[in-house]
Amino acid sequence: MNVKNVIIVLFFISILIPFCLINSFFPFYYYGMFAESIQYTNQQESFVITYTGKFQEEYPFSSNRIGLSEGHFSYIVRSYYYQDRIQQLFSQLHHILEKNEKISRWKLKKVHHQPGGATVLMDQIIWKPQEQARQ
Amino acid sequence: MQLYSWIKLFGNRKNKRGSRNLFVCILGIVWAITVLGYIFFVREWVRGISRNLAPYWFIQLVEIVYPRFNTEKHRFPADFFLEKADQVILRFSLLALIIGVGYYLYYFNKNFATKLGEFWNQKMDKLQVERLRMIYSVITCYLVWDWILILNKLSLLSGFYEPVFLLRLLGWGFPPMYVCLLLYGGLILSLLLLLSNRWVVISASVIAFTFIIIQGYFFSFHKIDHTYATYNYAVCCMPLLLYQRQIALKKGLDVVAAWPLLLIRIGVATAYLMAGLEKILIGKIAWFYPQTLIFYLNQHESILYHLVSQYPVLATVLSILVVIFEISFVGILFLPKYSFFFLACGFIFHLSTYFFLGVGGLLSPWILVYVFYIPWENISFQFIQKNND
Repeated sequence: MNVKNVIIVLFFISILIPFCLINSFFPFYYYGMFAESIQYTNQQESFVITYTGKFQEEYPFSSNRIGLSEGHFSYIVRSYYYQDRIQQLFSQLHHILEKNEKISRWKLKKVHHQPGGATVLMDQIIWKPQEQARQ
Repeated sequence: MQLYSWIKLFGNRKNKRGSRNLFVCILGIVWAITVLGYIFFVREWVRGISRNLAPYWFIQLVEIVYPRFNTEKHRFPADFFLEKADQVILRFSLLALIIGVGYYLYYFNKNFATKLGEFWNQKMDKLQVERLRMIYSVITCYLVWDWILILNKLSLLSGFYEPVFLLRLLGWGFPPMYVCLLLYGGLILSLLLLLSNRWVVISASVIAFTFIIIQGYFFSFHKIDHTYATYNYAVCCMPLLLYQRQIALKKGLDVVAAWPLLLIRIGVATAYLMAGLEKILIGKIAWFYPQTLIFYLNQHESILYHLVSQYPVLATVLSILVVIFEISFVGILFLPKYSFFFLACGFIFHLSTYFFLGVGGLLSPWILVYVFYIPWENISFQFIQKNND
């Protein structure tokens, strides 16, 4: 087998492996965009992050402040939440924003959306940077 | 002793037919063991993996292959993962079947082997490579000009960095800003060298390396994007194409081996094919239900949403058209005469996804990569020709 044939075979393997394993292995892509059934893609849960500023008022945190889209940021939040690393997420956000703002408390709410449109609070995590610093 | 004589019968290297039979036998045995192993053991492990009721090594393996499993297992029921595991086995079986049929046709059908040989040994005019080199350099410059700004933005978020497969293999963390500058500088300098026809193979190789690595950093923040997915085939195969051009120049030939260009074309066409197949294999019939498209349009706050929700049949027609387009795009490889028709359909498809779903852009890399399907050597550029003279 000459070099040309080896390259051609490797090229096809790089295409077929993500297809067979249903996953992207960057730089080899799986092309499952918009393929998932909507019963799975339909998000029934969402995460809301708020922070308390220097006047003790609570503000919603917008992902635009760190230059990420809402969809991308919720992806990150979900990841950190289920891997039990939410304090690490708060610590990172706090590190980015503390230069411009004094923040005394971070809060995450996990909300479940019911079929009728109602929402139910499922979980709530609070993180205080001062307490963390003292520890 | 019996086993030895059996292997000797099938695997005699001098006997080509024997070694071919051995290959088919091994393929069949591997496939049978995989399917049986899946049915009797692995399927049960997949069912229990969300509750840690699987062997430790299997859980570790799943975490390596599917790093997001730990997050998604809380979101989806066990059946969701079981369905995926069934799909994996189905796809490997399909692949084994295709390899088996391809192998049989190659060795037992002379016409097929000749046609395949002719396909991979195609030549093209060196003018095609010259023009592609220039067009590729300009397009890539356009695609990457703001990458240093993105790297700068991401450097502030380095706490969220989780390397993608390639960077995980290399063990690279998020680089300090001076390394980002070096990578970006190397990319831009190589593009300028390629445009000015200097050290073309080395420049194209540096472009391929930096283009993929920088992109790897972009997608190491928990989400892989498909923006450059098809363009990556072009980036990775351009050094090979330019190397073939160099060989032709050294030999004083006017024609260049076309197989690297064919790889780019195959890569792009199969991307569409797989995107279409996924909709059938994963979404199944549900993908054609009007609710599916209506849901996606609503999710993206599309202007088409109200029209389609009033006329659900329109949603089904559009869904069918999308799948037909994606699966039939591969026809561009076999019907080069009609390539402009396929490209026009692709252009309309991407414009529609941009306007109605907000995916991609007017000059998205998925559209720009179409330049590799255009026979540039047949197009007359009087201005360039005069300059060359």
